[in-house]
Amino acid sequence: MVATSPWVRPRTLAQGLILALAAGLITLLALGLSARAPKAIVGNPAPEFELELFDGGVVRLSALRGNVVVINFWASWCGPCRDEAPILVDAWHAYRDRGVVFIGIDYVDTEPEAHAFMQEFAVDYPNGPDKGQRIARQYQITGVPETFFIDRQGRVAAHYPLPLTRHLLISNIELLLTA
Amino acid sequence: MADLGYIAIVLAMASALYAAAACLWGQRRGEPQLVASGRNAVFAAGGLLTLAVLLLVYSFLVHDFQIRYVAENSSRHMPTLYLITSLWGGHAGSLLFWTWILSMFATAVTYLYRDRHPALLPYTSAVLSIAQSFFLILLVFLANPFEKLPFIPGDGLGLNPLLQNLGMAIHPPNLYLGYVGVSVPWAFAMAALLSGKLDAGWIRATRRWTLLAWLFLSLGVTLGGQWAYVELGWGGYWGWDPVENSSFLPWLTGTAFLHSVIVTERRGMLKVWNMLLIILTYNLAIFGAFVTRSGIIDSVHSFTESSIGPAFLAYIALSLIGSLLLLFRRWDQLRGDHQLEAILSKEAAFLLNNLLFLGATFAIFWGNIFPILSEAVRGVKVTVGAPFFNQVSAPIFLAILITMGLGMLIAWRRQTISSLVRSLRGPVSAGIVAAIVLWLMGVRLPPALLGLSTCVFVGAVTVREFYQGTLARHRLTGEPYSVALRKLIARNQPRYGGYIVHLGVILAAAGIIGSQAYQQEAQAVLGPGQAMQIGGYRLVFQGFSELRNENLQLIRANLDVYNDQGRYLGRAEPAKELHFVRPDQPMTEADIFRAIGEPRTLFLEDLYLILVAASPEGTATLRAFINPLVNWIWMGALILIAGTAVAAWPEASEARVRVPRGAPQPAGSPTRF
Amino acid sequence: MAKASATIEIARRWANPQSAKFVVGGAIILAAFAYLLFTATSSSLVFYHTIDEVIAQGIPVGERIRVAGAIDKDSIEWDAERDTLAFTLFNPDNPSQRIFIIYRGLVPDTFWTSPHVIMEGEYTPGQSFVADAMSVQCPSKYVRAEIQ
Repeated sequence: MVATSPWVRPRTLAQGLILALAAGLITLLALGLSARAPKAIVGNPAPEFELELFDGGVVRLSALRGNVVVINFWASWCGPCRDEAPILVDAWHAYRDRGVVFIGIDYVDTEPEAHAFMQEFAVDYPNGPDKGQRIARQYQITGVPETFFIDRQGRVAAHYPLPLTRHLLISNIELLLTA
Repeated sequence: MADLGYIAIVLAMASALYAAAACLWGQRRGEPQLVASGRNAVFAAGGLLTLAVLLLVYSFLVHDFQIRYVAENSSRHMPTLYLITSLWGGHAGSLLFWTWILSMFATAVTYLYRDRHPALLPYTSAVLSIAQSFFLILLVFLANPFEKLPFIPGDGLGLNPLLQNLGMAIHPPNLYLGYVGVSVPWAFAMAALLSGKLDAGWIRATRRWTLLAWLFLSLGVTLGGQWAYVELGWGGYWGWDPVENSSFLPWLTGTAFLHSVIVTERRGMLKVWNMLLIILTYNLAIFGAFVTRSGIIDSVHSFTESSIGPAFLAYIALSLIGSLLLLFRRWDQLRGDHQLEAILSKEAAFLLNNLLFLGATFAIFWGNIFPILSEAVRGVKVTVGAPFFNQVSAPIFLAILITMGLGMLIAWRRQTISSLVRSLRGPVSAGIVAAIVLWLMGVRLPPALLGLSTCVFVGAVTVREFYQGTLARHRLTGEPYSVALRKLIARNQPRYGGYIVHLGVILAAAGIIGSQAYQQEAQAVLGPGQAMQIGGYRLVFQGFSELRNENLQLIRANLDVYNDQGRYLGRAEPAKELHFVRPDQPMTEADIFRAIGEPRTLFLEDLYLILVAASPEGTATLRAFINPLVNWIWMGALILIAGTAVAAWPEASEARVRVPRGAPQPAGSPTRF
Repeated sequence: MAKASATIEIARRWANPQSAKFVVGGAIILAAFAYLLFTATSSSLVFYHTIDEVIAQGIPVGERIRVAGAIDKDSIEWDAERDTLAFTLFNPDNPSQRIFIIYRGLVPDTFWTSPHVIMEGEYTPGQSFVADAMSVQCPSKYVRAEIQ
């Protein structure tokens, strides 16, 4: 229809249209991707967050700078978390006086079940619900349990999207303490 | 083991990069030695990737949980078969598997055509190596399947139970063969553009490769549907999920390509069109992988953890824009040898059919990326659901069916209206008769009536092609009909193979129409001895039975099935399954009831049963579906495979020409298509 | 030179009544296609909303929406006989914001273990959300399932 004008050659017109369509599409996909672009977590400064604890206090990650921080995402409905909980509690008791802080973040849960879970495993490190899954999104977790190790400078040193073993937990903490 | 595997991948990357460079440079500068060494590098990359795949499979078999991928995708309690299929159960492994398939295609093409197409082949090898390099770079830098854990877990996480069945063992490799397979015709097309040898040579060289890739794409789509139907237990086979759609898109453009190359071979037309279609098909195949891997569109299937989305997108941008620019460079040289002469011509029918396929592709693509589009343009996330896809695709596919029938009827170049009307008379009356019979049988929904009678019309056209050809041969040569039919097909396998494929498609279309329009559904809670009714079946619940082995626990509801005359037909056993490794995920095992004594369960409809819940008190909540004609879809797929095999079968027609059996051979060389 | 001959070529092609037929035919197909796409899109839009948006803004009657929220496990009532699932969905950020869901359809296996769910259907303010589609995107890493 446009080609009736003798000044536009249909060849270039068609090519221009095809190219514009292709470029537009790629831009669109790039936009869509950047909207949910995951940035590398490990090796970068740990995303800052504030967590309201179950017992009423508030924990701010940046306030813990200078400590080794272990952030564990869990939920009461998650099977592997049950295997992991005693390991975490034991390690917390062993390292709490050596500059190591544990933070439990309860991911998509209901409070009574969460409390029952914490009672059952005697979880006594700071713990709170991730309201609106904001922290989970910041850390781009893909499920529970997942654990992040933050070094004394506030960088994410390691990330495990798996239930931890005792050996793994302790060797990571030791590594960061000696670093 | 892990180190060895990683080294193999790194070396494969180096080989592929070298192969691409050497083949390109060597051909440009006219240095056959350089080309030869590039060719060897293609083989080296293939060998190294084979080694890497074998190493990973071996690591699965010996439970080497030090390798993260093995730990995340398998466990000690898995049968050997699923240990092997865990290779493509996750993200890095499927990428490795994909790349390996690509390297095998590159090796095969480079080896098989080493003495043919000297002007094209170095470029083909180079293009395939470039594609391969991209995936290898991903494997080396972003998704190393041999990544080691700093510790050795006692056991792995195991494979998702949804993936632990035969369908899922076959489905991904099959789909990858299709996705990767279209690389070959694409690479040949690019080689034609690079070398300037733009005659139909590249089309002839790739015809079988295209058919092979297309066959795998077709199988991927149908097997995916069948897997969903049998395993997911929701009574349907196609949910218009973004990932499902993405596997359908290259099939659509690939089908259009298969048809438009016929016009090029016969009439030297639509050359630019061919190029556009193969470029589109290749990039849609990559897009399919991209959607699955990037999580850009929310889907059941997507693996959102992947960080390689941007890399994939960059590759799509590169290959799409790059291919298009190559095409633009040769645009003027791709002018058709003839003009379209008349609207009533096979050329025009093919063109229309192509436009419709492209329209369907665009519509489905549109629905697929609509959430991204709306988010980018209006800032709100809006999706279009299954109703959109049904509403858009029904008329387009009906139109495609009709053009399929007309396209087989109309002659090349031009046809007079009166002769068209004459040849339409038979098939159209068959369609009308079918419509009347269906109406009397109680099929009253207008879309179903229209769709099914169109199927009969197209079927009549197709059958008549065989009938007339056989009759003509019989009269000419005096051969008995069966011999005449066989020789008719052997004389022009591509054409008659294509017609057989058409028959399969018609059958599948009828199946889709029937099951979409006439599904019945019922649900009931039954205690032992109680019964429910659906569509002329009576189901009597006889209690539960339980099965346990080391891997899983299975609870079955035992149902006695009777027909409406009260005759006992057999037992149905829908079940719930619990895998011990992942007890939080029970699985519904639907039962599709079949009885030899009741033909309708074999040919006309599926009695599809789901155990929704088993209560501790011993009552079962059951849901039953009657899905009419679903079987026809799978039968259509089988016929489609047979047809494709006939069309692609190598030597048959040539061999027959060489060894005449005394019967007079009709003059003229065997026509392709 | 080449430009001039190309222009003549175009002029000849466009003057040809045979070509005109193709152009008109093509335009009709394109228009029909655009119309089909437009009507199908506008009639099947599904908007994503959060629970506080649903409660605060009010949703135009008849608009199909998708709402994600957390399931109040104690509220689940399942009437197997009538094939109806009823439960309360709450905003995990603000548990006092709740909407009552009535769902008819297949309940996926994962619903029972999943903490949250995405429902699709129509919402009438002051009444309940009548849903006819449910997606369970279970956050546990090996569980993802959806039912159409």
